[in-house]
Amino acid sequence: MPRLTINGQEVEVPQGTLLIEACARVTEKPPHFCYHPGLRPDGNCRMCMVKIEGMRGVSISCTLPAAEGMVVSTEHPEVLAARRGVMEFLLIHHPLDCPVCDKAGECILQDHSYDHGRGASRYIEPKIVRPKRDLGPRIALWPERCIRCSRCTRFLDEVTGTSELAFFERGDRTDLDIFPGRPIDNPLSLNIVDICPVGALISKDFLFRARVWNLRKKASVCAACSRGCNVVLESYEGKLTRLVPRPNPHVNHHWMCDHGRLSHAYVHDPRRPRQIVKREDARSFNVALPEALEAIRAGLEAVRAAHGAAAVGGLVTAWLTNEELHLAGRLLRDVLGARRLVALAAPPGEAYVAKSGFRIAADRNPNRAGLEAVLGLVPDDEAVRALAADIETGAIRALLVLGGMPAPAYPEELVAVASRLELLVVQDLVPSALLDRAHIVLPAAAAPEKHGSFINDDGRVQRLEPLLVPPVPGGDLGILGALLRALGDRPPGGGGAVGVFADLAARNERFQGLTFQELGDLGRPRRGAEDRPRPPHAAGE
Amino acid sequence: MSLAFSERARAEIDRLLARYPTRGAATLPVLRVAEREFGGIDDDVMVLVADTLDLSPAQVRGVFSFYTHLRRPGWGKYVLQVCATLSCALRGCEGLADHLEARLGIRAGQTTPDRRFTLLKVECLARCGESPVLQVNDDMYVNVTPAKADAILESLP
Ligand code: SF4
Ligand code: SF4
Ligand code: FES
Ligand code: FES
Repeated sequence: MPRLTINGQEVEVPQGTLLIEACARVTEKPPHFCYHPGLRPDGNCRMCMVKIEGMRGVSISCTLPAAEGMVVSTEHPEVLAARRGVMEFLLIHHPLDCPVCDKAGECILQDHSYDHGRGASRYIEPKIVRPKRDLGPRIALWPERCIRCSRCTRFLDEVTGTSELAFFERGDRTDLDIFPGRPIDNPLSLNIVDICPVGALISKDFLFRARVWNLRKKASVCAACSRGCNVVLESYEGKLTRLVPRPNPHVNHHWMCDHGRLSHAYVHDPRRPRQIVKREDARSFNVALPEALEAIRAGLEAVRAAHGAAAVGGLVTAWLTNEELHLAGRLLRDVLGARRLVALAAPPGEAYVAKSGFRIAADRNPNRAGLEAVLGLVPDDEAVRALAADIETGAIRALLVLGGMPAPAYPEELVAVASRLELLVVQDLVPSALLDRAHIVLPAAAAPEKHGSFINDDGRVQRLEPLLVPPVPGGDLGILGALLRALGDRPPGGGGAVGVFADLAARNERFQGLTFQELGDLGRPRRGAEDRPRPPHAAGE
Repeated sequence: MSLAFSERARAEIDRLLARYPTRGAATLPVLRVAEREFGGIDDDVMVLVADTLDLSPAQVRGVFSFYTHLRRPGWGKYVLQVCATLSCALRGCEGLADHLEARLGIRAGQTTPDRRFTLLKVECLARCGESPVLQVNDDMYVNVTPAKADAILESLP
């Protein structure tokens, strides 16, 4: 554990800590462009310079390990002068088109030129002009803005191992580009847009959609597969506009996949069910929640009176949070004594493991582990078919379908017998043949509208924070709580995510010792799951 | 794309690979082999080299385009590289380049219509002490004045 002095302050850091990180412990991280904590240091931009006593000139802090006895200054006059010089060179060919640049507001070239720049250019020669060009289906390049920091090429070399980008030519003619006909189209490609310190690499999906300072943000998790990458959800004018990864050494490090970023079109799809609908004699009405609840209550009562308590069935999906699953279990098992409670899964997607070890799970059900931990349920097509058979024979007369999913996956067998039901309640995110046959339609909340927790495929319990307002105020948790109340029960812990989680933790040993608050931003392993940060270059060596 | 190395070239590449710690490290010498084999390096050749070395084509192009000593498609029989970096600039390479442009009737970066000469301004050729420096294909000439350049060009077969 080397001890060193930085700006007059003593600090002890773990062996091997880079000087730039050591500096960050006592003061602001030295300004930098090419250094990124998720990539191997390259030391090419020369912005992160510090003065080390006894060493000639200034030294870059991003490649140098902190050493015993070092005396370091981040604000030495030589350092300040050197930074000004670096800034001046970087801006020589820069177009300074911040007003039309997507990165403005989160661009470190912009930030550093406020802090370390000269304000005016002394360069009078012609600037290099290079128009924007396409690099692949999701990314475009504004070459003039590139400062050649190589973060993007290192990402593609180290993390994906695909190396689509390289620098061509050299000196002032250096140009970042793809090989002709070999576009960037790997599953993690959009991470290079995030890590580009300037607005050179641009996501076509986000292009010109919002100025970043107008975005509302919430820390949450991605719901597009069972990995549960930590993300920041960002919205503009009430619309989910961008997802960016949030570092979590236990799950996704600094990255997330393109699928996760781009698979939320359903949230704002105009066909998405947003109204509570009641259907009677082939006519449908929009109704308020109390009227729907009363219809459900009356329908359930009629079925139970005529055919016994066990004539009720339930179907849930892994888009319900642990808290919602807990209430759903209470409703269907404890209150209604349902004959069958089954889980339906979305079909698997493609699994992917990057060179670095970053994983996309084939399992596209974000809270599959929660289904198992909370309700002991494993999605099972056989069980869903058995449910359909029970409906066919009349053993089940009322069915509650809860949670929904972004693409309908109800099996034919179930849809075919739906019209035999005396009461069919369907809550979903998208239209479907089953939804069309429902007596009561309840809009489901999408993941970015949810407050609660999911468990990822490592057994990590992670929080979702609502960025958007769900179609039914209170979301799925609110609907389930109200349903319990309508049936004469009450949701535990007041019915909010925090209280319901506390009840879950008290009753279910897999959640023992956890509180919703203590899940924090990075989540906690559920009881019995392993808690092991993975090194960022696990498989990349 | 049906491009492939000959038996002989493949054997040479295998010998080369044995001398480097990684396949990628052999990029330059393998490009040299490819240049001899195919008479120049175009996109198809770069893809072949990339496949041979387990690199991406972009990585090979990055190395190839960094240098000026590997033949590119369309170059003339003689490639004249005038060093335009500092030491040579201080010793008058600009005049040398201007002279060659006038004599050949082309700008730096261009090839004469008869495909005899390609003229390039390049970065340091590492003979700064004897600048200005002119390289003609693989032969290096130092302390080159316009008159000396004329003599060199006239001596070429
Ligand atoms: S495109 Fe961005 S990340 Fe890539 S080298 Fe240029 S500035 Fe760096
Ligand atoms: S790997 Fe899974 S959780 Fe992570 S961003 Fe992609 S879809 Fe989302
Ligand atoms: S951040 Fe250290 S040299 Fe670029
Ligand atoms: S500067 Fe011309 S050879 Fe070095």
